[in-house]
Amino acid sequence: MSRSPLNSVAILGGGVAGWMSAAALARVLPPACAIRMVETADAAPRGALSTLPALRGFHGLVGLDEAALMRVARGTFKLGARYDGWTDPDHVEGFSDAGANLDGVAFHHHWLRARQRGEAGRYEDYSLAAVAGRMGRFAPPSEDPRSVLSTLSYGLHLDAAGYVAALRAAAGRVQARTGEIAEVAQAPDGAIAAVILADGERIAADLFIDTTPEGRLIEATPDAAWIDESTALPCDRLALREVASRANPPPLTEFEAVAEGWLRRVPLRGGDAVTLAYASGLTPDDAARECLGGEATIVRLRNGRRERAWSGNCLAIGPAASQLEPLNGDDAQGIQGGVGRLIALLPTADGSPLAAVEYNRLMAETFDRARDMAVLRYVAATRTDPLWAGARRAGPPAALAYKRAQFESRGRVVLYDEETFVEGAWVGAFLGHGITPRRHDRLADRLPADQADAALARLRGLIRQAALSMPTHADALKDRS
Amino acid sequence: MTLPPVGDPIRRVLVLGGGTAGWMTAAALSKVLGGQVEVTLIESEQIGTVGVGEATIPPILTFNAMLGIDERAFMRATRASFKLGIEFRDWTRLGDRYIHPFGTFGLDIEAIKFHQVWRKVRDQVGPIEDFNLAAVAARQNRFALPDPDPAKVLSSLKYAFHFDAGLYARFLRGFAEARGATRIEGKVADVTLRGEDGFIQSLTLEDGRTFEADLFIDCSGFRALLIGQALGGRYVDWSHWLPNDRAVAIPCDTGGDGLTPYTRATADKAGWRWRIPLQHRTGNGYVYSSAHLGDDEALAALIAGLDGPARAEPNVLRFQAGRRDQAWIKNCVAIGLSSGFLEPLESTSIHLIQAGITKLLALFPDKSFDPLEIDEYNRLTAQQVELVRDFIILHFKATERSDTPYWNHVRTMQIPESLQRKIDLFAGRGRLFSSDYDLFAEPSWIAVLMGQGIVPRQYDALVDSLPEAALVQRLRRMSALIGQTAQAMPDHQAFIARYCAAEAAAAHSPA
Repeated sequence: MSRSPLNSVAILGGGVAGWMSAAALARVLPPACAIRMVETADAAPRGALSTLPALRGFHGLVGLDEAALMRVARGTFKLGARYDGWTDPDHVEGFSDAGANLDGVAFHHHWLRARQRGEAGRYEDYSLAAVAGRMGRFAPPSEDPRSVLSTLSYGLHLDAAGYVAALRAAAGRVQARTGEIAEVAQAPDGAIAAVILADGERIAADLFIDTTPEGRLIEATPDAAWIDESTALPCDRLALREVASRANPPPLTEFEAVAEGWLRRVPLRGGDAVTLAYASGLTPDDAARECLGGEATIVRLRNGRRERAWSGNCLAIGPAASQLEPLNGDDAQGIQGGVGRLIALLPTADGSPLAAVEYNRLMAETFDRARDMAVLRYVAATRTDPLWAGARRAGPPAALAYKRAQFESRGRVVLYDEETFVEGAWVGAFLGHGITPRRHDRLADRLPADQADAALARLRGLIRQAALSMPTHADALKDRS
Repeated sequence: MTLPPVGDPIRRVLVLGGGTAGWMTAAALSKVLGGQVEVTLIESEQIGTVGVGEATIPPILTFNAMLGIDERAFMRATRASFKLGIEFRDWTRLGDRYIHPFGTFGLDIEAIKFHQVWRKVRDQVGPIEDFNLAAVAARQNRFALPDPDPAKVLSSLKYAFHFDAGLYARFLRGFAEARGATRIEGKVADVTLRGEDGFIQSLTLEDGRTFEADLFIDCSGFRALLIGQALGGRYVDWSHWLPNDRAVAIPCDTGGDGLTPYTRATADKAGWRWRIPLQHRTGNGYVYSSAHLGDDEALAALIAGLDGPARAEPNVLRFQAGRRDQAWIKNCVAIGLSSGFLEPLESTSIHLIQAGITKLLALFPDKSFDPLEIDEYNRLTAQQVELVRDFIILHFKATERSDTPYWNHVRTMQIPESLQRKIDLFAGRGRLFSSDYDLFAEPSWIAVLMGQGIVPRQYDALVDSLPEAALVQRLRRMSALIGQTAQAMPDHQAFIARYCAAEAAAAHSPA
C-alpha cells in the first residue's frame, strides 16, 4: 500500500444523514481510523421518513435488525404510495411490478391493448403491493418464485428521531459530542484544516463529512455553487405535525395535492406524521399551521443540489448536498447513495481528486433523475391554483421531457444511468398520473386478444385473492413487535 | 401538447443485402412480425459478403432463442464450435498471454467485489483467471454445457459460438423463407425518393423490376447504398483512435492447437491477427493500419502464422473505424456494416447487428414514422457503439509495447475522456462504475484492464475488514472447486463430435 490510509473522519451535523454516514463508516473503516461526530442543534431529526425497499439493504450493511429498528423507530410497513388529488382518479404506485411479461412483451403493453377494448381495469389492479396496500393488508414477500407473494417488496415508514437512535446504537465506536460550529479554518489550498467549535475545541480530520442542513463546511470550500431547482419544484417550506393514528392504517404513504401544495401522511406506530409542503411566497407560515389544525413545526426547504458535493477533503451528504421535496417516498435514498459511493470511492489521507470527480458526476446524475420523478408529478397534476399553474409553466427538464415523450409515443421507458426508480416505477407513475401512450408495442398483438384478456383476468383474480388472504397491516405490525 | 396521429401499420419491409446482417434481420422480422408484415430481401450472388465476425458473444443465445432455433441443428449447419472467451497474445508485451473469458470472476464477499479481495491476497492465491470457469476450461481445451442446477459451479458457465458466417446466413435464409420472407436475386440500379419528404419510395434493379416498401433496411455493407448514397447520412470517423483500416483474411486447414474453445487475437507489428477454429477449417485474418504496414507484408505475416495449408485465396477488406451519425434516417434503418465499423477484436460485429434488430423490433414504427422513435433508436445506438468503441481502444492504449512505430503511436495517443477516467479510477483502487448501456459488464472490463497490465495500485480499504487468513482459505477453495469442475469437463473436440458434428449432407439444410 503506497498511500497513507484514512486516519480520521469527522462528521459535522448529525441527524439522519450524519448517523447513516456514521453507522456505515463505523462498519467498514478499519478500527485504526477514528470517527468523530459533532451534533449541531439544527441537524436534529424531525418528522418521519417514507422510504424505498432499497433502504433495507442499507440496514443489512450496518447490521440493523429490522424488528428492533421498527420498535425503536415506531416503524410500519410500506407497500407503496397513494396519490390523491393530483390527477383524477387517485392512484397507488406499489412496490411490486404490475403484471408479468407475457410472450416476452412488457405487461403494460398488454394492459394498454386490453384497455382499448375496455377489458382491463386499473393498471394498479395488477400490482399485488398496490392492491394489498389499498386493502390495508400486509405480508412479507415469499421466497418461493412460483408464489405471487414473491413479487412483493416493501419499504418502511420510520420516525426520524427513533431512526437516529437506532443508527447511533449501530454506530458503536463513533465518538460523539454536541456542539456548534464557530469557524471553519481553511488551509491555503482551500482544504479544511479544522473546524473550531463554540467552546473552543478544534476538530481536525483527514476527511470532513458535512451533514449540517445549511452546508456550513461545504459552503466554505472554493466550489460550493448550488444549482437551484425551485422553478419546477415550488415548495420551500415543510410544516410538520403528528396526528392520532387510525385503527388500521394502510401500509402506504398518502400524498394529497391541495391548493397550498401537498399533504403527506405517514403512518407510524402511535400516530400519523403529517407534512404540508408549501411555498412561503404564496402561503404564510401561519396559514400553513392553520391547514394542519393550528400547530406545526416549520422547516425550510431549498430544492436543488450542490454542483460538487465533494470538494477537497470535505464531502456533503444529505441536505447539505441536495434537497428535494419529499414527494416521491424516497426519503434517505440520496443519503444512502452518497454513503454507498463514498465507501466505494474511499479517499486516502492525502485526498483523491479523481474519486471526487467521479463521485460528483454520479451523485449529480442520481439527483437529477430523482428530481425528474418529482417534477413529473407537478407537470402531470391537473390543479389550477397559482402554485400548481406556476410549476407547470416552468416546464420539465429536457431529460424528463424526452422520457415523457418516449412514453407517450408507445409506452417505452427511457432509463438513463443512475436511475433511482426502475422501469416498473416509471410506468406506474406515468400511467397513474394519467400519462398514457398513444400506442402499445406491436409485438403484444401477436397474442390473440381472447387469450390476452383471459390471462389478464386470471392475473387480476390471483392478485386479489392473494391480497385478501394477507393479514391486516395492524395485525402484521403486532406480529413484528 | 398536440400529438401526431397514430399512423397506419407498416405492411412491407424491404431488406437490401443478404449477408449476415440481412438474413439475421429477415429471419427476426419474419419470425416476430410474420403475418403482420411482408418481408422481401434483395441480394445479388455477384456481390460477395464480408463474413468477418465468425466469433460471437453469449447474447447470440438470446437471438437464437428468440427465433426458436435448435442449437445442435444450427451448429451442424454452420460447422460451429463453442467459444468460452478470447485469448490475447503479445498485447501488453511480447510473450504475454491472457484470456478475456465469458462469465464472472469468483464471488463477491460481504458485498465487497471479488477483484478487490483478490487484489489484496493475490500473491497467496494465484492468477485471477483461476477464478473464472470459462478461462480455466479454455486453457485445457475443455467444454460442457452449463448445468441447469444453480447450486453447481458448472451452472455459471457462459458460452458463445464460432461459426461460418456464410453458412449462418444460408441457414437463416432457409428459416426466413420458411416463414414467408421472399428473396429476390438482383442488383440495385436506382433508388427513388419521394418528392414531398425525401423518404425512400422504391428500389429499381438492373433488370428493370421496381420494388416499393414502407420501411427499408440497409444491409448493403460498407457501400451503404441507402443510408449513405441515397440519403446522404454522415459518417463519424474514429480512425484517430482506431487506426486500423485494412484486413486480409484467409482460411486454412485445422492444425496448431486444434479446435480450441476460444478465439485467439495475437498482436502483431502493425495490428493484430485473429484465429477462429471451426469444425472444418480455421479462419484467420490480419487487421492492420495501412499507414504502418504494406499489404504484401501483412499477407506474408498472416500466411507465416497459419496452422496449416491455406484453403482459399486471401480476401482483402478496406474500412474506416466509425459509425453512421444516424443509423435510422426517414424510412431507412442501417443494420450491420452500413451503420458503422469496429474491428472484430471483441467479436462485436454480429452482436451489433443483433442489437440493431432488437431495437428495431422494440421501436418498430408505423407509417407516420414518429421522429421520437427514430431519435431514440439513434440515441441508443450511439451510446452502445461508443461504449464498445472505448472498450476496444483500451486494448491498444494499455500496452507496454514500444517495438514498432505502430505500437508507439497507439500507446501514446489521446483517448476519449470517458475511457481515460475509467482507466485512471481502476488503476488507483480498482474502482469501476459501469453504464447500464454497456454491452461489456464489469467482469469484461476487469479481465481486459488487468490483462493489459492495469492492476490496481491499491485495493479497496474495505477488504481489510475481513480476516486475511480466512479470505485466503476461501479463495483457495473457490479456485480448487473451479479447477475440479473444469477437470471433469470433456475435451472440446470430443464434445463437438458427440453433440453437433457437421456432416457434409446436413450442413446446408436449415432447421
